[in-house]
Amino acid sequence: MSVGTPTLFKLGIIPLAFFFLVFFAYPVVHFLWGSLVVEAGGSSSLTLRNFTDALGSSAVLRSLSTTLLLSVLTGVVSLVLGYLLAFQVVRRSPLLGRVIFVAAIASLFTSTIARALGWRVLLGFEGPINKALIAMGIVSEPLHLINNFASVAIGMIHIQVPVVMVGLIPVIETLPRDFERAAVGLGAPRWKTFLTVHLPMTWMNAVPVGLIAIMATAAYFTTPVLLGGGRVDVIAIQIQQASQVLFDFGYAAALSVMLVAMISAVAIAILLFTHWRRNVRARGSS
Amino acid sequence: MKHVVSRLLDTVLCGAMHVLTVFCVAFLVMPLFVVVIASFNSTTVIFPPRDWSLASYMQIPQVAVDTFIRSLALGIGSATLSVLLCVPAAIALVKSRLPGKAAIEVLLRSPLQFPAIILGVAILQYFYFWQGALSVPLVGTFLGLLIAHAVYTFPFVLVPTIARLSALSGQYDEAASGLGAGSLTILARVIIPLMRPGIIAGMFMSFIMSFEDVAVTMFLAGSKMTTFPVYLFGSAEVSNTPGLYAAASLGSLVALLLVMLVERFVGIRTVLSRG
Amino acid sequence: MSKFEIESLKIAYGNWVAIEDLNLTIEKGELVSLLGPSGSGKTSVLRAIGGYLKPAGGSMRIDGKDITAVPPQFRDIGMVFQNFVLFPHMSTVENVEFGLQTRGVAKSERRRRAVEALEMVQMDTYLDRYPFELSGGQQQRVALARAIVIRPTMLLMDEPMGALDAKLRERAQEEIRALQQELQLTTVLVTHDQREAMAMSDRIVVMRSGKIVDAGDPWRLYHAPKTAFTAEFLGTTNLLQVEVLTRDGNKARVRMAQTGHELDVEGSLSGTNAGYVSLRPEDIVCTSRHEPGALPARVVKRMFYGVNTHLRLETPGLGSLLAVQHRQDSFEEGAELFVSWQPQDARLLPGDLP
Repeated sequence: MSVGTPTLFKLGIIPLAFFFLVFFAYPVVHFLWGSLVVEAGGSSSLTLRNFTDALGSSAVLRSLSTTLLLSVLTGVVSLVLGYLLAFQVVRRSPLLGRVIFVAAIASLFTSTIARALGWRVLLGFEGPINKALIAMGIVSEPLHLINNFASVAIGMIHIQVPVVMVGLIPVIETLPRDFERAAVGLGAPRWKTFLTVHLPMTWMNAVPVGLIAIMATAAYFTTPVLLGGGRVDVIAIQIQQASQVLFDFGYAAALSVMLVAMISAVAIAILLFTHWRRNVRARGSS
Repeated sequence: MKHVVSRLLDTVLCGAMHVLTVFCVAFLVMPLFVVVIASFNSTTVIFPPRDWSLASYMQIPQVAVDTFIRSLALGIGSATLSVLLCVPAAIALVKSRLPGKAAIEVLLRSPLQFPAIILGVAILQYFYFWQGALSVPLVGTFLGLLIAHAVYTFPFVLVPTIARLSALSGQYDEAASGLGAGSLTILARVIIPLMRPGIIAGMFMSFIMSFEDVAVTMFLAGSKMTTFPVYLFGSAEVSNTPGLYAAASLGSLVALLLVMLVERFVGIRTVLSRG
Repeated sequence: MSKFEIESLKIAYGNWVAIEDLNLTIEKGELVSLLGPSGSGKTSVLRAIGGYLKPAGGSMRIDGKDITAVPPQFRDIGMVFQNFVLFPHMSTVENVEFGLQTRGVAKSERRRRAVEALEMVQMDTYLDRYPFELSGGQQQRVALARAIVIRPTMLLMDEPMGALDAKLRERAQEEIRALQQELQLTTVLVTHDQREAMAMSDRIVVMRSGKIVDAGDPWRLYHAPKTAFTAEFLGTTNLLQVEVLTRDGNKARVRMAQTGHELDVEGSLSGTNAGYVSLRPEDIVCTSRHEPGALPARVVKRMFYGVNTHLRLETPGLGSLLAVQHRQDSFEEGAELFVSWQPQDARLLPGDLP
């Protein structure tokens, strides 16, 4: 801008920067730093004991693996279903697209608690799904669909699919339809067009969206508690118990560091991936 | 022959895709309906309800209403605080020659991907410290919750306001300047009014995030200072009554009403675009 | 209604100097067009005049008062941008009132003057409309009203017709010129459209690569351009590359670079023997019978434009020529004819700037 931008505008960053540092950055860093500190009788010392304790606990290890499995499963399934829905929204008739979009938005803005309650009913022992299965003769007794890993996964997928869909819509929108039209015009069947034209051109922008879903799932708390019935222990639950039940902030911090490490690993994977993709693009191959 | 098989496969796959889509839409929407319908039970939660009644709605406990109102206030408060913090920041980041702009922006966006639960514990520890040091109560107070919610939600305001501001042509500033307006006038009469869609989108997202948050709030709530979702969560953990479903349905109703309002004035797409 | 002077203006973008040592005086009440191709620097000069661009050197004065360091906010210069830049969140009348509001004009007076300005551009029935409801032509008029309502010392317009449909342009040109003359408002216009410049201006300043190539009233510039670039930029002309053989005051004998054909022309070159001869298509007389001094030619292409006919001719001596005929028996393609012109219509001009 050639009209002089006054210093006045620069000052606008100060309130937010102050707020950010005082109420986010410092508390978080201080808390995470606490994972390296152990208080004993008034004195504190730097130690890795919190970490060794955590890694030595089978409960913690189990929760880490549960979290990882849940996140990856949710991420992958959400990516596939979210991609399907996004595709339909962008490519199909405006009416159908609108219906799908509204359904996803309604789901997105309903609280996770309400959604979990809904699944509780649906998957319950005497819920409609079990009733339908029995009525159709597929099973003779109701299945235990609730209070286990499966129900938590379903609940988490339910949460992430709309988010992924919303994130993928712009990705699919930016792909010009002409490529597909050209392929179809040359006689290619639609499924082949999808696999050989559409997918290769969009997957590189789609995968990061899925990775973000993985990151979000890994930190989730409410749904695993409500749908897991105490049997599905994710790392978030461990952290909550360490702080609200054990009042051991150092231990909670160690667990948090592990969670952050896991999420950061995924984030770095995203960064490297997009960086690689950009290089591949620059080199001219697809 | 191969051609025929291919065409057949094409039809089958496309059909399968349509079926899967329908299934997905049902998957997304069913739990929402179920919650509402299940709330029409009078004693125990069964689906479909044996006895349809509005009894559960009549018996919503006062605490649910109180926390509901508190959550509304908290949502509006944190949205407002976020806007007051983020609008000047967005202006600084987009329109001024602040050194290290890009890095600052990345830093300020970072809470978006940060686990809420860790934030909750960290702020709890922090508040405990300052409570002790300054004798100012923070945990279990409205102020404490407001601050925590603002921390959690401000990025949701920052992102659309930056996006909106970036999309605005710099020529408006020039035109206003040539007509005799100083920087403050340009801000007040041109820039900020034109940022309105981004601000509204941000306030909406911020409100929703605040209104539905459990992970951060549960550490900072007190017995007399709880929010609606934390109350619901607590009840849902230990019980499964129709009243619970009634309360949850009402909460969802508020959210959906808000969505419709925002769609009417700003458009949901604006809200969801990540700039 | 002020006199504007620019002295030794220097404009640089980073290390690249776009304009150096530019001098220009605009008289009171004049409409001056800065005319040139894109990249000529005309918009930079306009923006510098408005204060939107900080020059690297030189000075600018209004009525003798130095305004070089004055920001646009205090220059009292009205500006109409190429895409109008009406504030989308304000109605028509609010847009026009903006400049008055910043000057602290009282509410009722503001409204009165805004409506008055809008009446001048015939937009007074659109007071409460918003910019998105207006057509391009209507937006331009509102932008104009907004600029003149503040009673500026000068008016600047950046490619004012750029965003308008071709059909609207001529009408808009007429109206703007009429308004400018009525208000006796010193105006600077930037355009790449030579027709627009010629039709509207008191004076045209032709720019190329950051320098002023020629300046003067449209008539003079068209009929007696100082350089080949000007001759070619204003209207259409046949430019023949030539070498001067002999000089005789204001006449010369030159030789065609391509064909070696010799002819007598008007004008002179200083410091060089290489130049161009400009011959305007409408000055070429086509006859079917031989006239003394006429050259033979053949019609290669004939394009009928209603109001006139363009003939692409091939001549052995002068190569390819474009001739324009009005309401005469036009020749068919392939016809053989003879071409001639008045001696003063073949002008010898210096070639382009290095």
